[in-house]
Amino acid sequence: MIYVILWITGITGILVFSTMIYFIVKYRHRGGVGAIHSHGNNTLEVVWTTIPVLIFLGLAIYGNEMWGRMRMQKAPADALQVAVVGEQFGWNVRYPGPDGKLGKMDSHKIGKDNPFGIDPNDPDGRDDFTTYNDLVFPVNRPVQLHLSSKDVIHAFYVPEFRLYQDMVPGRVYDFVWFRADSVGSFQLACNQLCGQGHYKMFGKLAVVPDSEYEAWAKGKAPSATASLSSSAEDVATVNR
Amino acid sequence: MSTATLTHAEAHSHHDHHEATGWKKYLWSLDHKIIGLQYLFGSLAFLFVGGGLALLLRWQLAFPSTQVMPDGNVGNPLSLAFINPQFYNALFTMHATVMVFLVVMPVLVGAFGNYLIPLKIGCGDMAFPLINELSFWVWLASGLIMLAGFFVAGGAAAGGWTSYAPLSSVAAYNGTKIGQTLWAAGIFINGLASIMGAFNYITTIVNMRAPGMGFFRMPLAVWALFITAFLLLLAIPVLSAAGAMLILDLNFGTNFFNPAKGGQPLLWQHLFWFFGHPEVYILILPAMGMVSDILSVNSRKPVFGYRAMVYAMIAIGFLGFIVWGHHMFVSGMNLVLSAAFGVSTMVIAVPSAIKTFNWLGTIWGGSIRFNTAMLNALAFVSMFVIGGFSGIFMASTPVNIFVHHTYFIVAHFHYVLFGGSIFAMFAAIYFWYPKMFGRLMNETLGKIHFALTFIFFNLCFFPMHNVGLGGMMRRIADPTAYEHLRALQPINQFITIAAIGLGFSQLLFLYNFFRSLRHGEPAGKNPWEATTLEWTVDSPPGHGNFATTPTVYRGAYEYSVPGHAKDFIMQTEPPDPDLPASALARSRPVPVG
Amino acid sequence: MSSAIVTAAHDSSAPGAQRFTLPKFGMLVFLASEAMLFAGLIGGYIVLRLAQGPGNWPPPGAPEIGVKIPPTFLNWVMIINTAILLTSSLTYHWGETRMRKGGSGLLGYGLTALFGAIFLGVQAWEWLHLKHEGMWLDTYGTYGSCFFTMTGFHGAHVFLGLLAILLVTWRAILRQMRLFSGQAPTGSHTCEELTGYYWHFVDVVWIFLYSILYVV
Ligand code: HEA
Ligand code: HEA
Ligand code: CUA
Ligand SMILES: [Cu+2]
Repeated sequence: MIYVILWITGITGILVFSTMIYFIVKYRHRGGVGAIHSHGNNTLEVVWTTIPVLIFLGLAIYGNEMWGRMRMQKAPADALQVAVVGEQFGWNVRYPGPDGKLGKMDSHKIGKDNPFGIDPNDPDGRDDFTTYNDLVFPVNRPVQLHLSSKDVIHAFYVPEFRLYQDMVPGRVYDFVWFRADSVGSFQLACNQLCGQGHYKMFGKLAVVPDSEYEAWAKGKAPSATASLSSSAEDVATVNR
Repeated sequence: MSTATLTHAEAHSHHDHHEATGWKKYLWSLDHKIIGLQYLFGSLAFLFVGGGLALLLRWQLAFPSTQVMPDGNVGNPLSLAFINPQFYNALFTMHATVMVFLVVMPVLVGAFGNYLIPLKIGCGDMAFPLINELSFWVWLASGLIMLAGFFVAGGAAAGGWTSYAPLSSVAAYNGTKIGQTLWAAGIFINGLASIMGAFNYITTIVNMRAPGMGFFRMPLAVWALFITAFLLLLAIPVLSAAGAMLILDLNFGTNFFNPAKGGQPLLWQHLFWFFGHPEVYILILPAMGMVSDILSVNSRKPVFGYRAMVYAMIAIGFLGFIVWGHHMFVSGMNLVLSAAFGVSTMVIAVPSAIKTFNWLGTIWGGSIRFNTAMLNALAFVSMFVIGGFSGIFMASTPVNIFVHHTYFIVAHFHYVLFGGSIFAMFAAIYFWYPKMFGRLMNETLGKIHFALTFIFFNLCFFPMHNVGLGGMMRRIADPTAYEHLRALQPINQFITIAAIGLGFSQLLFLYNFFRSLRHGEPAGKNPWEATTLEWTVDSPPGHGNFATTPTVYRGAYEYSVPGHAKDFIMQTEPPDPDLPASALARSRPVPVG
Repeated sequence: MSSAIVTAAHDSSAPGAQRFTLPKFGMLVFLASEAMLFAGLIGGYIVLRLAQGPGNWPPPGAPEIGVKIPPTFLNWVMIINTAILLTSSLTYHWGETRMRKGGSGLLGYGLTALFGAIFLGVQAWEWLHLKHEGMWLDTYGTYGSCFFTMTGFHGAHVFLGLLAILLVTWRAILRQMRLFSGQAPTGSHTCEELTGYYWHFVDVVWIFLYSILYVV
């Protein structure tokens, strides 16, 4: 998509600028040569209205189709479910336990001691485990995100993945899913101004082979509602 | 004069006002020209404030002072220690606020709107001179209120010029309760000034045109300001409502934007951008209008497709109200709605395309004079096109996700705002300076200033596209905190150096501006041999503008009319009785090709 | 004599042009802007209200202000108050008509001022009453915020309108005194006309606010 637009703007750009430069040079003021008198030309107007209309319609249709594919398709059923909740200034992350199910998140319940808004009695949530600023994803496996925020708007942004979603407090977003296709370590950045610590609100993000992920997950202790966030709060405090 | 006129004047004597003298004239005058100059000087001063803030924030980006090395030392010997992250946030917030509300709006709409409208439509003053003068002082007060934020506890507003809630609306989250309140109050008061100006302009243009000045004989600058006034009138109050809610949320415990109590953070975004998108056209339409005039005069050619230009601006004005969602693609609003906003945004690019092609059509076949005003006008066209192209990228929803909130966007809006509005401002100043002050600005200095500005501008802002695509986020105080951005740091330093060059080139402009007040060449009535009404009167025009009401016989762009001795015909020149009427009505058709 | 003024005055009275004088035209354009201000507030209200979902507006426990059948005491108060405000538009119009016919219009304007003052008084009483019941800007989520902000904005407009009407009434008193002493009243009616536009506008806004805050 971006390349299509690049080509279109590139070509029009070259056309516009070369015409402009040509006109500028050709029609610079020279003694004796006057200007042509013309108030315009309707055929030309129509032509240069229609062409952009067509180009833009094409772009719009193409773009929306892609948008549909990116955002409106349901995540596959076997996707790994991960909840990420932003706070000033760090990331609460919650992984499902052995049952593969996350506890149900309720944005109204999100609060200081319950960053995920989870019902402590929800059996699905009992075995979940949480981390702070630390994400690990298995490679080649779809991951579905459940995003929300505790206080102000944050944004989940991984530049290398072309992944971006605002996290507005009071809502849970669960339409973002992706599949990482190569291992590596990346940074999860917050990309919505959220206060003085915004610039350093980032988390570690590793994409690892499946087996390594399983091993990592096994080593984590379940935590019903609470998170590490209260104990980790000092990690997030900002140095001035 | 006849008694008829006298009784007339008496009957309307409550309109009357007298010219103040001396320095008082510049503090409190009801003359639209003085008010225009007040706005001009005021916003030029703010340009240097806003630019100074930009240079500070650029310095921090190149040499961040927050990066703490393992040994506990601040990482960079060049860093300015007083720029902590909170202050950095305040810097770009106030930089943008100053530039948008205290520089571009007042200079294009306030200064040139006030100065040019009555002169160009042939009347003595604005419809409501008192409200006009009031609007200037209210505007100035709003600026001082916003800047006062730097001197209060907690510092100036630091939530970005978009002030997204709940960061902006909950004091515990932003730590700048007073600053943020002052910001919102300033925006509210600034809005009052804009609205006062807007209904004044509309009333004046609709009711006070000189005899013969039909709507379709108005210069495009007037048309542009007319449409801009409608946008101001209808968009600003929505921002005022949002600003009032923000003040209440911050100080009186209301919960409009507080999700913890049932408020809606997205409501702020919808209200802000409902205003915000028309706002960006408020910032560019007057520029487009004035540039059209300048291109035509200096190509010695009529504006190509005058009516198409007018209709395109009207279309931009209308469509501007239905595209605001393109700033919110990633906010999680309804996904189908996003798609619809993407389409409407593409549609609004069409009238912009029409305008661009008509500008090219205008210089085509002309006899172009490259004075400083013309150079700046040409720069406007080319920079606007580059900025518009990057706009198309972002309007496409899938691409937007990739570039949202990166320096790609910073590049986009500086191309349209500096490359567009500010170059147009320079063009307009060089062009109408002789009318305002009776002397020409120095052309040599002007051309050097133009060349430096143009070069440094592109060196400064073009690389931002690249760092943006490289994944550099906006609004971060320290790019070196991110692994993927460290490699880009040399580019950031390069940009900063270019920005400093850009800033200091403006000192040349100031020097030229003030020197020419005394030492410029005397301009005479019509130095550019232009056709519109302001060039029929003295420079600077006297109080009341026209000794007698001018009568208008023709459109605004009669250049190089075949069979005429001179290559321009003033709008006030009566039709030539020797020519058959049909020859006047229709101009020579032009072959395509 | 400044030629500028002749020009301006001349244009505004040019033949064929003027159904509206300049100030009237300006006032109408200005009111379009005011309308957008309330449109912004009302739009925000609709968003916030829909976000609460059906049945949660008003939130449980909040004082009942919505119109009930049969109406409660508070309902009656606000219905009558609304009627008073609407009547004040009629009395204003009557005052203007009398004035145009050469009278002073004092009675019409005076009544308008009185009704306007009553409206504001009752509004203040309602505010205090609700506050007493525990509803204020910061209670019941966005319910209190919306109610007080919107009625407050409107109230502020009524207040400004009332000041203008007091001025108009004062002018009417002067006119009446001239009439008593046998002179014909002179002077322009611009002040009265502008105030009239503004006052009717404020009334219309109230119809909208009353419908969405109390009825629907
Ligand atoms: C003067 C100001 C101005 C102007 C005129 C524009 C014009 C446009 N803008 Fe821009 N914009 C801003 C100021 C402006 N913008 C600002 C300040 C922001 C950031 C706000 C913030 O977040 O802080 C912003 C942000 C912004 C975004 C949001 C980005 C994001 O946050 O994710 C988008 C997305 O659609 C966008 C799109 C456009 C488009 C499509 C146009 C179009 O109108 C451009 C149309 C012009 C052309 C296209 C060029 C000429 C045409 C041709 C030569 C024809 C041929 C062309 C083709 C076939 C491609 N702008
Ligand atoms: C008309 C609008 C306008 C204009 C003209 C400018 C002009 C400039 N802008 Fe700005 N900018 C915005 C509107 C504008 N900007 C907006 C809307 C934002 C978004 C903010 C947000 O995210 O909320 C922004 C954000 C923004 C950023 C991104 C910050 C971030 O996201 O972290 C940057 C970074 O480089 C930047 C740089 C510059 C520079 C270098 C200039 C240069 O052109 C300035 C040139 C300098 C001068 C003209 C002054 C010269 C003065 C002197 C030489 C004297 C110095 C005096 C003293 C220091 C006392 N701007
Ligand atoms: Cu969290 Cu920025
Ligand atoms: Cu926009």
